[in-house]
Amino acid sequence: MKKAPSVVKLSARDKEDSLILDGKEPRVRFGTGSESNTILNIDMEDFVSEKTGIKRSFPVFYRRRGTVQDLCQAAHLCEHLQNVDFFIRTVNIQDEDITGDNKDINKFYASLNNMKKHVMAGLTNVEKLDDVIRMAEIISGGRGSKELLISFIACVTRSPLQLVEDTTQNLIEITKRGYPVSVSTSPQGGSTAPLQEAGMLAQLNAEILAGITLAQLVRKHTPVLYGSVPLRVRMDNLDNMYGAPETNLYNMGGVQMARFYEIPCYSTAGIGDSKFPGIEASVNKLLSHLFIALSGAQYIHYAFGLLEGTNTFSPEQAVLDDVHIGIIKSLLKEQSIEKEIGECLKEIREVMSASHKMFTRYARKYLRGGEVIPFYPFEGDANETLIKVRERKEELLSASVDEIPEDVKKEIFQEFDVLERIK
Amino acid sequence: MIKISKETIERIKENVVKGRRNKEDEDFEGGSVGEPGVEELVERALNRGVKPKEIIDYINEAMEVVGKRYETGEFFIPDMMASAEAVSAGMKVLEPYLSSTGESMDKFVIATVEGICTI
Repeated sequence: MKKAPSVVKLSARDKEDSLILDGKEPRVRFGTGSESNTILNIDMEDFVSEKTGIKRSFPVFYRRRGTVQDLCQAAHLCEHLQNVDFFIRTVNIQDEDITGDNKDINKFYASLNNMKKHVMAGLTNVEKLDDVIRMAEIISGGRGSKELLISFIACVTRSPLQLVEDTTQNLIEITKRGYPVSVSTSPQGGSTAPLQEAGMLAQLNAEILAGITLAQLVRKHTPVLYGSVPLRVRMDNLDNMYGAPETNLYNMGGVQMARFYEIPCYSTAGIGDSKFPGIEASVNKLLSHLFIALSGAQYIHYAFGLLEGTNTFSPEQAVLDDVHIGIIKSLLKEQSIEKEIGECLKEIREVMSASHKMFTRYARKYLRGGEVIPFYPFEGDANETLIKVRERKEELLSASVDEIPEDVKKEIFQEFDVLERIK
Repeated sequence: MIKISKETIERIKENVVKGRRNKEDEDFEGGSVGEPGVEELVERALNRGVKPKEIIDYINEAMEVVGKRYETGEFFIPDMMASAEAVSAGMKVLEPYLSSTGESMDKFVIATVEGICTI
């Protein structure tokens, strides 16, 4: 365990988006995740009241299976969501021409081509690992590039306490190549792990330590994240219950254990049991967003757009989550009271000598500096909010992204089985 | 000479939009301290022979810009108030010139609506 580094660098196509995770420092980042099978789309349709005859628009929801185009669009959207710090594929790509052999290369390409932030994903086929790494190296400037634009997730255990052959093999191969990997496990309190916090934490910790130890035995000092994804089981159907209060306690415990070992924590927040985007989902998610952020997890995944646990990705909910996570980040930012107090006393003196006694003039620079949210941007009743959020999503999707340069794309398309339609 | 006056007038407009009364004031991004604000620029324009009425017309144009930016959501109430203060600072400089030249502003009427005003 002592060989596992405390500091892990996750590079990005845009160097300013690279992350330095330090297991000794509770600096919080939020990202997406994780391979939902379903996409939830919203259309606005007009309905006429039988009672009053008045016509109004209401959102209508459609669910469908995720495609590689959906993943491209999700990455595009997340590139423009300013509080997304890293990207884990939000959608499981289930197109007919996606196979076990081309899934990894297509999911990494779809993500990397549409955003310049760090991209992490699990591996479907370990035999394709070298292709994925080679493609990431081409994008970052050539073979052997030190900038590791991608990292991996290896969920090595089947709780309780059993190593799974294929994902363990993935961990070994990824580790041999020196790429950062989140060694994760997801025990369910009440079914595959004890319900009580102490018991859950003991088991969660043992499962993660087994994976991290194995990784360090394969390659000393290989960069790993402490992948804590504990859940509580629903008592009516033994499905996952992400919105349960115990889930927060489990996760906070995981963050503290990672801090004990001084390894950056891949933690979990922003999932709930709501089925539709909006108020209920946001409240549900914020209960964990805020708790886990306060616990100081370095790398919080699942934070954007997930509904029904992790089954569905809603781009509109991701837009809402971005605003809410922005509020949390502004609450957690470092305070500079000593610097501010002198400035404030000067303002008070000036205002007291003016006739209007208002401080509004001095608020402007904070407003312009993005430190103050002028008002909640999606105010309105439930429908108005969703209409505004949908408009915002469309606006962000119509804004361009810096795709991979054409000459690099050409090289990639010559060498790998990337689908032409996502070029 | 005319060119210099024109530049000064443009800077008055710019500083009304930025809500800067005088050189001590920051603009809406916290910059521009030390650069002349509306007070100093109005004084300069008068010294260069620009007529007070002309200055007021430019100030009005600037306030129209501020109003439009508020309507489009680019500006907020603090921006409008800062601009209004900058206008007020400029008008104080203009006041003696208006009475001495016989020029005056148009009259206006201000009122509150009975029973509704909550301020």
